[in-house]
Amino acid sequence: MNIIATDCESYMRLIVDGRVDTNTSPQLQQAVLSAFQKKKDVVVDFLNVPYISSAGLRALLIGQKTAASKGGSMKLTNVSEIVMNILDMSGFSKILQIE
Amino acid sequence: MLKNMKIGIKILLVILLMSLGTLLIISVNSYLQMMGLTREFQEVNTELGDTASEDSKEALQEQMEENLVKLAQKQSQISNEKLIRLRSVIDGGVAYLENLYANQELFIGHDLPFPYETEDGVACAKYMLAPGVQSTDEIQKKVRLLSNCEYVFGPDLENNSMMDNLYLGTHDGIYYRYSRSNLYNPDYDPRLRAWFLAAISEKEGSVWLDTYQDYYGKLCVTCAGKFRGENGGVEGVLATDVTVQDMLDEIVATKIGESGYSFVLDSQLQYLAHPDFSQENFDKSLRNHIGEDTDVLKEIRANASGIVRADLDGTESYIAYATLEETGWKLGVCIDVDEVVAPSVELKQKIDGITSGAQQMVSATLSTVMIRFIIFFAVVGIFVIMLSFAVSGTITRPIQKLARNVENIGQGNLDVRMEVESGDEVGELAQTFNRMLEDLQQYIQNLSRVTAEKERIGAELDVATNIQASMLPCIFPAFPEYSEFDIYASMNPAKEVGGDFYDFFLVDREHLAIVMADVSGKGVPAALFMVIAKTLIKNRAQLGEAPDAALAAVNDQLCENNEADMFVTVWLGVYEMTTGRLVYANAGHECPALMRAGGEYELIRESHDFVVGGMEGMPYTSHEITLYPGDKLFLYTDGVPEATNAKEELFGEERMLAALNACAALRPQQTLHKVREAVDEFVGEADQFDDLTMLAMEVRAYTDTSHR
Repeated sequence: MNIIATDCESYMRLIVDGRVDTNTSPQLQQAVLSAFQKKKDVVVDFLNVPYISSAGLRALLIGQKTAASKGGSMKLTNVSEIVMNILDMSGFSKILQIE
Repeated sequence: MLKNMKIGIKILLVILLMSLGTLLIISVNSYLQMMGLTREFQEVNTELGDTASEDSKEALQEQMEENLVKLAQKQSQISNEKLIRLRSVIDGGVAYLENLYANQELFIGHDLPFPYETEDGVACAKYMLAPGVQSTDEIQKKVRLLSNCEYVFGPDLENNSMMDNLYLGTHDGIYYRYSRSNLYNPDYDPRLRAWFLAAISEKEGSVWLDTYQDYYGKLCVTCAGKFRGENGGVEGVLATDVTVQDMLDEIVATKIGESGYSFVLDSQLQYLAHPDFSQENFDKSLRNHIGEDTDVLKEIRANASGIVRADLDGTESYIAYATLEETGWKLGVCIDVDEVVAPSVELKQKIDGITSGAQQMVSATLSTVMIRFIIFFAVVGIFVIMLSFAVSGTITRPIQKLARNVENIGQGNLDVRMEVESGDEVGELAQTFNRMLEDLQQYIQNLSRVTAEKERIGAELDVATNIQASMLPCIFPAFPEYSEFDIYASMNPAKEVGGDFYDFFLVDREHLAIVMADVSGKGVPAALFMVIAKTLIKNRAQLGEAPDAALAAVNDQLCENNEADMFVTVWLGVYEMTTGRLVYANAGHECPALMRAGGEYELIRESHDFVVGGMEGMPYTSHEITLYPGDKLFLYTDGVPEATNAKEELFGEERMLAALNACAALRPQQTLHKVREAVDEFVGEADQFDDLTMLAMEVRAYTDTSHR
């Protein structure tokens, strides 16, 4: 998995490429946390994410909680159908901002 | 080849090559130079010999030529002087006779005897008259006048051994002779003799006549001179016979070197004297003794003295010659050229001898040097071999020791230490080895400690796994006393301890609680979280709370101290055995599959609530369906649909449903086995990525309440 972090002035954009599973989720978590250290608003681009495991969901949950504590926001974009299913199934679509 | 050699041999070779090679080069060089020197020496010597012999030859020849000419001149001079003296006797006699004639009245004289009247062998005066001459008074008067001559002629004959006699003839026909011999020829007329005529025809002074052999075969020559009377007219001729044989013999007897000899030629170049003169067939003409080159004859004839080189009697000879002015004879001295050159040849031989001797000495020295070189070579060679053995020994011995020690280490003995004996590379190697050994020991210690730690952790994890497994209902049939339903569950964790769990337990006699959950993450943290979640859920469910209330309570409890932000997806259902009513809540968990009796498995899709433990105060909703006998319920975690094969394809819900439908008629236990097999087949060689947890329940009948 690869994550490219781009500073887009008002927010940070994280382009995630690859499966987010047990092995790679710490990387996503780290990327999300360091993005929040720079900006209040973070957009996570899931265009190239074919699958997310429960560990990956945890990283997103931590990101959401961080956004809430900082008064910022975390948005998910370009979420694929499979990932959207997972988010729906786990109820994460209820707490995350998804575009 | 060099690669495979032992170091010792290599060093030995290198040292040998270096030292002996250098030595060899020096030796060969020196030897070659010495050879060159010898050759040069030889050449110089040969040249020296040649030059010296040539120079000496020339010098010798020159000197010899000079000497020969001098000798010839000297001898001719001596002989000439002798002849001059003899002629002076004639001249003196002539002067005396003229004095007699001029002063006839002063000399009385006496009568003279005839030859036969004298004694033979005694020197005395005698006279005779030519045939036809009368002994007149006038004649007798002249005879008496001539008798006075004996006072002069006597001492003359006495003092000149060469002189045979003194005699005179007058125009009157008187023949006077002073001699030892008394022989006479009565027909002898002096006035007709050659000596008389030659002297008369000579203008002035005396004259030498040609040689002749006397009665005894001795070579003689006559000297004659005319004398005049008081009126100036020629009165007669005085002559003497000189035996030159002795003089010539003396000349010939002169020893000249080994092969040289002297000879005398007359003015016609006819031999007068020669060592072989007395031999019968001796050719008197010089012409016939000389080879092709006749120019030398002209040269001899023309010059007063000199030297020529000619083939004389078949021998290359030097001929030095000088003229006797009196007679015009040539006195010759000849010598073999080879003899002249002999000393120079000898000198050359001597020099050559010395040269070859020196060369032999040089050669001997050279071979001695060679032998010394060889001995030196051998000694140095042995020394070098010993030295290199010693040196290579000091290098290789520690290496061999090192090798032995390393072998020892290889057998597992790490307590071995190299003895560092030297400060060189081998010593450094030994030190490095020692350091490596220490590091190795420390590393092994650490490793064994870590391994022990790991083993301990592993063992603990095993225990944890066992505890986890033992926490889940694992005895089947789980409720043998209940025939209303059949339930079976299995869990295969991806790691030793997983985050999945299932649970089923009786809330009371009629209610069965079923739990299928999946903790986010894996490993020990997930297991610990699972234990808490399971316990809390069970506690709440056993209180008889509705699933939504139970999950809401558990959620709040889990969120209280959830520093790790872990959460769990939970499907909690409560089945009422008497009515078939199933009340359940789904907190972010996969949709269960339901098969109505005689139908196919289908997913029960409803809106999902948020996961448990994720966020405080989340609401949960309960759903309700009714199960009938023959209905089958299949619960699972995401490990089943999300099982991944090597091509990264997901197993998916469709394959799962297909696998379930393939075993629709089977009992829960067999159903799980079949699904498991289908998943395994799909995954193939790929790693099991997630926990694989499944639960199946079949409703067999409702509880018959009428029997109670």
